[in-house]
Amino acid sequence: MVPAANGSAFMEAGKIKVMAAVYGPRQRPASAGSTSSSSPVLLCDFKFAPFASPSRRGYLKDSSERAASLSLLRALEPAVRYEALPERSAVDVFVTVLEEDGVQASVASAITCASVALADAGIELYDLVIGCSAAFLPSSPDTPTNVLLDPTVVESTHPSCTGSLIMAAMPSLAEVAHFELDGSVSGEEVGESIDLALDACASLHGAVKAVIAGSGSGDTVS
Amino acid sequence: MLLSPAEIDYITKSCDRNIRTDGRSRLDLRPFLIETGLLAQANGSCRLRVDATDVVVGVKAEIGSIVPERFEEGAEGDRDEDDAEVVRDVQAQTEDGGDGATDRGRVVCSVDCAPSAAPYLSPLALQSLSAELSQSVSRLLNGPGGGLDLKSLCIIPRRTCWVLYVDAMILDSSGHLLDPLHLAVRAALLTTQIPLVTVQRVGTGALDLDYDVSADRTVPVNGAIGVPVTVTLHRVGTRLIADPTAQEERCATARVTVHVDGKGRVCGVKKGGKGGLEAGLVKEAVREGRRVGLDVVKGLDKVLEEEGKGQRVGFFAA
Amino acid sequence: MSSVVSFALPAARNPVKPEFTRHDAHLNDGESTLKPQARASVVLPGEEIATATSFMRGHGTYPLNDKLQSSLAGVIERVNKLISVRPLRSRYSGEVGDVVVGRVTEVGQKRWKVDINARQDAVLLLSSINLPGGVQRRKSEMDELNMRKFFTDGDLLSAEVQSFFNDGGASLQTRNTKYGKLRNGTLVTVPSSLIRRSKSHFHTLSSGVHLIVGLNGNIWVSKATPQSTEEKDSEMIYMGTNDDDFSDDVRRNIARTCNSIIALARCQVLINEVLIFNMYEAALDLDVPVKDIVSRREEILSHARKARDFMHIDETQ
Repeated sequence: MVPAANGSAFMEAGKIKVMAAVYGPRQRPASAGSTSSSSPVLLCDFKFAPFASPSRRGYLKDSSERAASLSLLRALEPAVRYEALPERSAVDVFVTVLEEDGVQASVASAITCASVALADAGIELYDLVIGCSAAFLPSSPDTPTNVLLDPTVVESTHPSCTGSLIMAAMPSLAEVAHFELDGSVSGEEVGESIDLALDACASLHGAVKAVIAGSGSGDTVS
Repeated sequence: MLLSPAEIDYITKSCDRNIRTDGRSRLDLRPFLIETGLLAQANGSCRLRVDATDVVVGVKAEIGSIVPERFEEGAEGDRDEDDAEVVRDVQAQTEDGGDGATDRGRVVCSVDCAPSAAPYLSPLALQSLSAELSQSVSRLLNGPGGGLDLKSLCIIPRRTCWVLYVDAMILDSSGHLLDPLHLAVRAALLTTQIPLVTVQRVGTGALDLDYDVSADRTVPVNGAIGVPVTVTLHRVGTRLIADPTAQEERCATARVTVHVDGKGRVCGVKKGGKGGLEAGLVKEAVREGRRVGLDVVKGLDKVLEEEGKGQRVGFFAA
Repeated sequence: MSSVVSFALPAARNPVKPEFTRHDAHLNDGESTLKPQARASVVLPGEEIATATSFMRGHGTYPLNDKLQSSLAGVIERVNKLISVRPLRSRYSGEVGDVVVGRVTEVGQKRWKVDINARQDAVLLLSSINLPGGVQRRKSEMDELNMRKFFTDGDLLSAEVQSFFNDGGASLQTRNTKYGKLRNGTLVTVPSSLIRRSKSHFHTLSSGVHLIVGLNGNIWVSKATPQSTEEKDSEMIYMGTNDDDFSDDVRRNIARTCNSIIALARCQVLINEVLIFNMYEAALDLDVPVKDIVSRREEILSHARKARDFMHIDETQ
């Protein structure tokens, strides 16, 4: 998809369109009087294209993009086999959302897309990282809350939405790589959402494998 | 990019003999793969591919004030500067100096080159390339040769207008980027739909006007059909070639960019590159560039018509 | 003079719908066995590839409890008891004896740095090149200016991998006169995974075109000259200029050959000189203009496959 990158992937999930490019591993210049360690690092950069949202975004990163860059890093780190990377090397991951449909869902897709790009670049991983998001939406004040998987922007920004989460899972290892939940929900709701999200990650994992096996390179998953 | 003296010589002589390394003749363009309307959040969009060159353009129309305030709501620092610069440019280009810009909308362009677009360029050089490309599109669309009817973008004189944000992302490149960029911008603008705005009187004063933005009715951008394309002819050896590969571009000593509209009018000519050009070659460039440009416009309009009739496929299909 | 301008719309692609898949049950017969996926083609990071500890783990695998997992997206390779995963897309990492085509990126103290599309640049030591007779053999006097008389920045050369340094970088040699500076042609780059080792990597096609198929994915396509095949004159090895007499026919054949190679690569077909020639002939047969060879590659490839002498390269070689 992006031939000059060492690895790349593009993903389309409903309206969300994300592309990821990976460069590396490459030598990090040793800074003078270096106090930084020589171990390999992963650097993640997340941004929305100016035309990704209903209202145009400027080129300066806003706080949601900075937060998403951090979520991306936290989600991918557990999967990377750092011992297989050369000393003092860096792996750069650039993710651009070309069209979003809810920030959480877009970040979740970004995580999946980035891990496919890492695999495409030949970076050794313990597992692929699959992201998914959910929103908590009670249908009325008295009924139990519905956990909606992969919410659209309408759903996740709905006034009655009580919370949202992003989960990143490593399905083959049955481990959670990253989890962040914001809002005000009950304990059971959290448990239910974790189970649902894990199932969603598992089924998405199957689809991703089918695409990688079929094409031999980073490709579309819809 | 590095090339050996032997390679440079081979490429140069190939252009002279009209048998380029990929078998093309001097003025043959590589095939374009094009798609519009692929970004749901944009009022208009286009993705254009030529060999490895990959450009995505999104057009977003937003209501803004004719003279941008420093405290424009929701604006970020960079948008203010882009805007202000465009207004200064337009003022400089219109005859009546200061007042000319108060009865028209404007176009704010920015081009973002991904690192993959030119891996042999340093981050600074990349930024410089992005700025140069942004400038080219911005000056064209806001100037007299841009084709767009900017006055039709005015909503309330001296107060409110449409601001068209033309954002381009260069995902990858294999050769000179200016021509695919302008082509994608034209295609995006041709397929842009902005909401219909109706203006009403709300009082007796001359400026007692209010506007209403329709939720469901849209109109195209007036004058998009007149937006020019560019054809840049590069001098390699003693001859001119169109649509160079990255290697051919490296062997070029000078270039001439010709802006051509659908009627065959030449809307701009710019010479670039480090070397000089004989006057005869400049004239030839304008002549050939105009001819190729007309073919490009015709080809684009035809394929867009075909696309309009057919089925939409997903982004990044094929 | 006419020009060609063409526009096309993209073709549709089918989306993949996620379906719930359950993890394959383990083979629990107690013996060392490969999982079913091991016989299929592609594995993903995290996939279990063997259940027993009696396999030796190679590149692209990691141990988890008493299982072997893949750490790459790739194809399982098994040599006796050694299991490794070959990545689907990887940079060139060669072996001693490989013929490569590389570009000089730096001229240094008694050595050149050569980019061969590997994880790091290769090195060509002054002591590894062919020094024509009469040249000052006092290598201690070889300063940078003199070095550039042999190879300078940007030069393309063919060489052989003679050894590896501890950090994994290759050391090249050009002692044999068939190696050296490249001229009279142009470079085509394809993924190195499409190039297979064969008996020779230097070929002269009947169309007057000479090929040097580098295992690192760089292929030099040039005009065939007597020097291509014979022992080169010591003066010729470091000549950086092209011949004066270059016929249009040869130029066209070189372009046709380059496009045939690119067409094969885009179809993800393994490449060797026979296939290149088959593709070339098929394009001629179908009367495809040189510049359209890449865009009409599927049509040309299926025509080539029908030819009696079409050669299939066995994947497992």
